Amino acid sequence: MSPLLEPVRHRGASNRSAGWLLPLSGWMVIFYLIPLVFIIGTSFRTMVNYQLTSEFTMQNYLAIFAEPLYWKALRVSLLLAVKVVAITTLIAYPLAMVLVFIVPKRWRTFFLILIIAPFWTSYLIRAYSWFIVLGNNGILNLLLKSLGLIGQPVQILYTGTATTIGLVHYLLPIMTLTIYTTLENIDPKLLEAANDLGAGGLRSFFHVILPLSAGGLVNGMMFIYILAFADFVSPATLGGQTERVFPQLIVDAVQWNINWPLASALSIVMVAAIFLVLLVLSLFRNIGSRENGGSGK
Amino acid sequence: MKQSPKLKLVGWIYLILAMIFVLGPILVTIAFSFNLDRFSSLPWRGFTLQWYEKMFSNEDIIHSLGNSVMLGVCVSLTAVLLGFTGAYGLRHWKSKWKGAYMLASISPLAVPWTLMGLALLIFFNRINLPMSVVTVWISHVVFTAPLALTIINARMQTIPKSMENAAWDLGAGSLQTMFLVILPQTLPGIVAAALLTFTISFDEFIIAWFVCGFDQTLPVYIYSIIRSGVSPTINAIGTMVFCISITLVSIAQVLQRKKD
Repeated sequence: MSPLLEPVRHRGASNRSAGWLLPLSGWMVIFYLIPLVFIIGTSFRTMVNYQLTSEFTMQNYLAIFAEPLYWKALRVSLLLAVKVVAITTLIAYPLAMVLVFIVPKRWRTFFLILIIAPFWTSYLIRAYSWFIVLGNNGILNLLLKSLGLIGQPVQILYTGTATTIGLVHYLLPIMTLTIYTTLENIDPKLLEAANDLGAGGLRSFFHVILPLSAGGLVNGMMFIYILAFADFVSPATLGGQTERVFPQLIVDAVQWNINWPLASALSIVMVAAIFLVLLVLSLFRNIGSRENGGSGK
Repeated sequence: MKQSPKLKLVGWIYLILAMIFVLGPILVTIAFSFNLDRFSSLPWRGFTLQWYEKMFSNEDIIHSLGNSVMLGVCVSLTAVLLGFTGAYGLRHWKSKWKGAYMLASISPLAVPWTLMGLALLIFFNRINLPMSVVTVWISHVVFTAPLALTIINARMQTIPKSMENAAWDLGAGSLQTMFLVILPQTLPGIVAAALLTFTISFDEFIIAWFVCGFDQTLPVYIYSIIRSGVSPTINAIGTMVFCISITLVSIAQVLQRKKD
């Protein structure tokens, strides 16, 4: 074959590019969009003798709004999610800063992988591993006892504290990675400039590092907020179901009551609650950034 | 930024404490899987492999482990195939809808898994597909394919357009260009995506719980036994699962972080 004699055919494939998108698009439409439509539809039905009825009804939603149990679970889940996001962020931010500003470059990937990799491993096993640590005869109680700090074992397992610990442990890696990525992208020259202009560590933190990493920080917080709100593994295992979280009610409606329409309505209410909070937050954020822009010198 | 030695020391101590928090409980579980005592507590009573023998002689565990491995392989292959074709299509698609398409295809990652699991359960029931490993496979691809797409897409974007054009100029057809230029250059991304999607599917519990029917995957089996408390056999299962996942994920991370 003599390449030089071949005509130039740049971008010959671009017409056919849509074809390459078909497998992914098809899968997503059939197994993602349609099921979402189905769950919305099902939430407006009822179940009689394990069969879905065909008539439209608001009954499930009305039942949810009238039942204090659901409101309480919603409040429990919201508070838990907020608490978990706050604690995780407070631990993750300094951790990411240490990785970026203190750990030498050649060691960074090593430590980063050690911290991040657990996020992709079994969440169940990670929750379970806390049973051994937090139990009444667990490592933590033994340690505290041998240090003479406590006489009787402290009950941590099967309480809200254990739920929170499990969730923070679950989400810390991904939050650290998110903040790390934004911090790593900050131009070191900006910090040098701040330093040259006489800003101390705290001032460069509040005036340079924090504002520049705010975007990644907020994205990370939103992401872990969704995961924390929708989780039932930690509350059901470590928390011992002491306080019913909202996702647990969905699971109950499927497992024990076999009431799919109610479960559907509950999960739609949950998603609505999650995104309502995010919407309010993002409104605040827009107002905040506009004010910042206005007062810029 | 320059730091004083004192600040550096505080930083390292903080890092070590954080590592203890993240890895400590898992290391404790691994340690106790070799402890002779059937209560997972101190003092240490001696080394044993009996909990591993017990694990491998338990039919439920072997069966669900087999399910999970097969599932992980199928999910990983499908997700990578969809992710690769999708990323290749996006590369050549010139449209103002490209950004919106990308956003829509990664949106499954932001949908709570409880909702997705229930939605799929209702859907499969409506189309009369019985719940089994097959339905779990279909469901897992829904949120692993977007992940494969982002990983492979990120890698593919590092290939300059000029390289492809050169192949065209030298007379390569579209399939030839893909197999000889795009595919080899994207390979680290593809392998990373394959390892990561396998691990996620292998470990995923919530959606599997909704749609597995009586075909228990390993996480669904584990969930059914951990609520009854600590046992050395679970420690052994946990150790095995953790070692499989951490190995695959670490390789994936190294592949992703390596530039060129």
